[in-house]
Amino acid sequence: MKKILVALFTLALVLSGCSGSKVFKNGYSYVFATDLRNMDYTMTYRQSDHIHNANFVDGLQENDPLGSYVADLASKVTHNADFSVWTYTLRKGVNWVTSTGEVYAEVKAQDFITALQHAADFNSNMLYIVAGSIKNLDKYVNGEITDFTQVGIKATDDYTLEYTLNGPESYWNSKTAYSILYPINKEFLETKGAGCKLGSPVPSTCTFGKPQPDSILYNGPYILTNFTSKSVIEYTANANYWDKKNVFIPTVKLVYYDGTDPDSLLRAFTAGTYSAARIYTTNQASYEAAKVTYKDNIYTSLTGGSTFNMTFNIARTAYVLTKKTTDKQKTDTAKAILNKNFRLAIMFGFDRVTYLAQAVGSDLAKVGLRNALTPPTFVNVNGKNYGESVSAELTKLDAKTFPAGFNLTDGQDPYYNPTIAAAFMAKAVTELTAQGVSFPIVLDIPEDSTNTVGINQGQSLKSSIEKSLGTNNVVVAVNITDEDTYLNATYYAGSGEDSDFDISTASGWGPDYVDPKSYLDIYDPVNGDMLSSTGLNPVSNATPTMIANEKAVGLDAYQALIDAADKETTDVNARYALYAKADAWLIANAYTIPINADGGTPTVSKVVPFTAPYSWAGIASYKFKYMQVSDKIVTVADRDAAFAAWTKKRAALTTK
Amino acid sequence: MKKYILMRTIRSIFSVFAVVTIAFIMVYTLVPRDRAFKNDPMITKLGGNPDGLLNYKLSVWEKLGYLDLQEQKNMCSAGYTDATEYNRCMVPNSYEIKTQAEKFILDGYIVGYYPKSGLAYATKDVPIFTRTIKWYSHLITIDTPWAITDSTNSALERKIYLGTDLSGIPAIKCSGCKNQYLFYLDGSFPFIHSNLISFNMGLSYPDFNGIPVLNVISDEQGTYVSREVTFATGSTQNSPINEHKCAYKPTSSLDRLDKMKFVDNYADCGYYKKDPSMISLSFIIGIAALFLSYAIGLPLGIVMASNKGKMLDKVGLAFVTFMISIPSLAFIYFLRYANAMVLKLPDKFPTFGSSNVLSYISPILILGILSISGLIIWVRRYMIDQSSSDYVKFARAKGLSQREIFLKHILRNAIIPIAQGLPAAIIATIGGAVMTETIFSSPGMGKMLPDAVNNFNNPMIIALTFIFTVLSIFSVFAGDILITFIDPRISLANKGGRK
Repeated sequence: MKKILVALFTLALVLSGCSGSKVFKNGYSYVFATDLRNMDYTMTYRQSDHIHNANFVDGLQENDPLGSYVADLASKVTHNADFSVWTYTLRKGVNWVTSTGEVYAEVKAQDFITALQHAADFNSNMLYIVAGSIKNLDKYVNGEITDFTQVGIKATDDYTLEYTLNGPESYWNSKTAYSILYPINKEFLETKGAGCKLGSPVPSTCTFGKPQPDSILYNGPYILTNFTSKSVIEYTANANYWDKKNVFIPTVKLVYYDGTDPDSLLRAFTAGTYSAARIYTTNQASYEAAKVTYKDNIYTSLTGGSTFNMTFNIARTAYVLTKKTTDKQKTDTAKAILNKNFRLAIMFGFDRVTYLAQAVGSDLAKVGLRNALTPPTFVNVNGKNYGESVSAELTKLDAKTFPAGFNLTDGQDPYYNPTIAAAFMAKAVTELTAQGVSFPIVLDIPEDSTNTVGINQGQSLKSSIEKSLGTNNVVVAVNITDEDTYLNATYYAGSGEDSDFDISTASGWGPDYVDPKSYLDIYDPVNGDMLSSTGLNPVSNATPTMIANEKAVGLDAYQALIDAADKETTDVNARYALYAKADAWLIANAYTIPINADGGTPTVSKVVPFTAPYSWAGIASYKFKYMQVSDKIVTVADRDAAFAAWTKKRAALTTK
Repeated sequence: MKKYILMRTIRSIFSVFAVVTIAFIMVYTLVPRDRAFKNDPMITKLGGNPDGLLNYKLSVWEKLGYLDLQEQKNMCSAGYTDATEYNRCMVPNSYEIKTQAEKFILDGYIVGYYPKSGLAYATKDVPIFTRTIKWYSHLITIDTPWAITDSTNSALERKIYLGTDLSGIPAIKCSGCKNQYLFYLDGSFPFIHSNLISFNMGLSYPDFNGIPVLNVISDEQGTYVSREVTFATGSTQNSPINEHKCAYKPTSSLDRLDKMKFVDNYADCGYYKKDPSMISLSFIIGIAALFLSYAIGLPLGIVMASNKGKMLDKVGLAFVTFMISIPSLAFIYFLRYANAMVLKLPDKFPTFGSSNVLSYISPILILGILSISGLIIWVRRYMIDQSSSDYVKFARAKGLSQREIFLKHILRNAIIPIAQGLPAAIIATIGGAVMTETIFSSPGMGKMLPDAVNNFNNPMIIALTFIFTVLSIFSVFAGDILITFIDPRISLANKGGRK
């Protein structure tokens, strides 16, 4: 998921917390930025739809405020020894209700099969999450088999659902928090038009899930009562919900906010209309004023799962956006990028804090810093943060540069160090001169002319790298171009050949499931999702140069590491420890340079800290279930205390 | 005159046709299709899956109406009904699929292959001419008792009859039509409503996914309004159902809840909702603002003209110049802020919602004041212009008072162009006001066209182009007719002085 994905709404769900035992039953009110487009939760992949749909329908598992996967509709989960067959026992007596609150039917195991077949028939945009996992699902979607009973999902009775996977997936359970695996009542589906009939899909005559309250059945904590485009979205708590004791907010009202007049959020919060408000740092005057008014209340939200990073183009062939004048410069840059010491010099010479300050101001520049591809707190290895394992592996790889205890946590900068950078550069110069390379190396970075912040960031990157390494060694050429050309050279580059840059910061990724594989597979030379951001293609259409260069940077070693980790399917701790080696490899080789995470925005809120559900992947954390809105504005002290308690509880949870 | 009206109507229809055709050409051939994927996170998520990416792009284009997509499974099932033959056909590069591909190519399709799986797909762009003709041919539907064909309901009666709705009010109903109520009465303007003729302008996508374009803009919005209802089966419940919108549902689609309420197949009903439709809301706010601006602007312009060069005129001019020079966006934000701070009016429409009159004050004030300055300038200039014309000099020579000259002579002439513009101004209000509506988050029409363009909602673009063109062409027409009533000397049919 790229930068553009990070929607405004995430901040509305900013984690908030648990303090004391008083239970609040206040309503929640804030803003929404994008209309609800599709309520067919098995089809849409848009976050702007998920944030609502997650509240209307429950799936097998959900996240609690501590982030663990807890029983939702499935009261019990079991799996076979190698994690390839998963069995879910459903809760009895959970009912579907209509938008007017009439009880329709009980939720049964068959409903999950109906939903998956519906999603497959209609070629759901979320199939990529499960199509490779569930046995024969791919074949059904392509039409190679037409009998859905051959797909690896079956109901052994009304309350027992069994998934058969293509292979072991220890992380499968986290995928059940995606709405493509949520249930649909077949009788209701088929009343929504002839085109909804299972097995004979006609999208134009199927009205299931159009954005109107009556287009779906509800079994979740809330029912949509009002969706008025670009104006207001309202829900009320579902009176027939199976787990009413964990629903505290009776009504949710979200008012449209078009992104202009950011100060209006805080104004409405001050007036008591909104339950929370993000504080924008772009308007210095109002930011300073807010800091005075809410000096005890402004806290920064937690950083999220998306990692934005800088990538090197390992095999560049496109040279439309360039300031290089000779072919010699092109081959010299290519050789330099393949040189590990050169890449490390860039990593240690790049001042990411100043870079980020261009976007969020100097106060917050550090908050969002991320120092590894996989967030350090993403999973735990033997009761310790994953980041600590990565750090230990890093020390094993290069103890001089990354001494024991090298700190990879978010929000601080362990890399920027012009002295170390210069030392690496000196080594690189010696090695590269021997290969006939002349200096300075010209590094092209593209920027979008419509994005002022981006251009400033590009200039900041240029200035810090050139200052650390010397313009006699490296010159960063910021190529400003129109938006389309920029996007086609970076985000939308369909193949490595289209990637028109030497270095680029137009790259970012968020996890699809809770396993480091979801991050680390993106650079898998076989079929990584982000290969084009490094100028490469999947192995099936890789050019000889690409293959040679992959070898030169040692990507084969990386592949061996992730393959080995993926083979460890039974011991989760061992598996994560193996993945930590791959994460360490990326850092030690400066294969990609992590920059920042999403989130980390200044916020004021009445939401009791850390009462909202928490998760790294899936859509369950968008629920307003569990969450409480207090009568008072949360103070930084309360929030810090709640954060400490929350962290402790999370640690205890995983060491169990 | 009759001949003129007829000819002008024909010309107007031709203009509408021309404009809509141009819109079709622009939307479907000139806009780069790849822009539909701007800011689309799927493109990244499918980065390592070339087949998935290609399929995703093709299916989005199909949904946006650019092309017709047939996957290998559709191509195979079109040619082979036998299961073994179908299975042979599903093998990439098999003889069977190649034969099917040739058939599709003959049909005007372009056949391609997914890079990884080798499976075939066929696409065909719908020619722009066919597309336009198809749109017009589906535009108007007249409901008849023979409209429904439902093989699962052979006992369906075909008749039009006098009945009552759920509240016992008489209505002309139909069995066999698409809609159950052909004519019905209710409490909202114009009180007698009909479902006999309906317009079909396609389904909205990707916004309002799957909802007919016209329903998006003309259906009520907001939360349900329930009342006690006794259904035909005798079951009584508290329900927001709007029976006047009940449409036919095939027997195979009826579920238990439908059967509990209805004795026939007319179970696909609408709901009563609290808030006005997008069109009505824009109209309400627009008309009020229009009234406000004329009520203030017209007298002010006249007073300033009759006091030309005096203090009042100078102050008025200063105000008008200030209003014209200030960017409207800044003015909107300023007045909204001032209203919120001083008068404690809501700065967002949904804060109190459409049922509270306070919600309307700020948007109406802002919209009204924004158009006052133009009106004042225009009226003042026109009146001053006229006051130096011969007939005014003559009137003055006759000894008429300044007041008489202004009200009885100049104003009468001045009213003609104002009257001509009035129908257009009134009708334009339903187009909504983009800026005020967005800033106040009021659910009107203003956002629809810009949003549709941004989101590639092609059916919506075409429908709105059609509606706005029809309205603007006929409102100018209406303005012309209106002035012939105000000033009978004006003739639209004859060229003055010439034969």
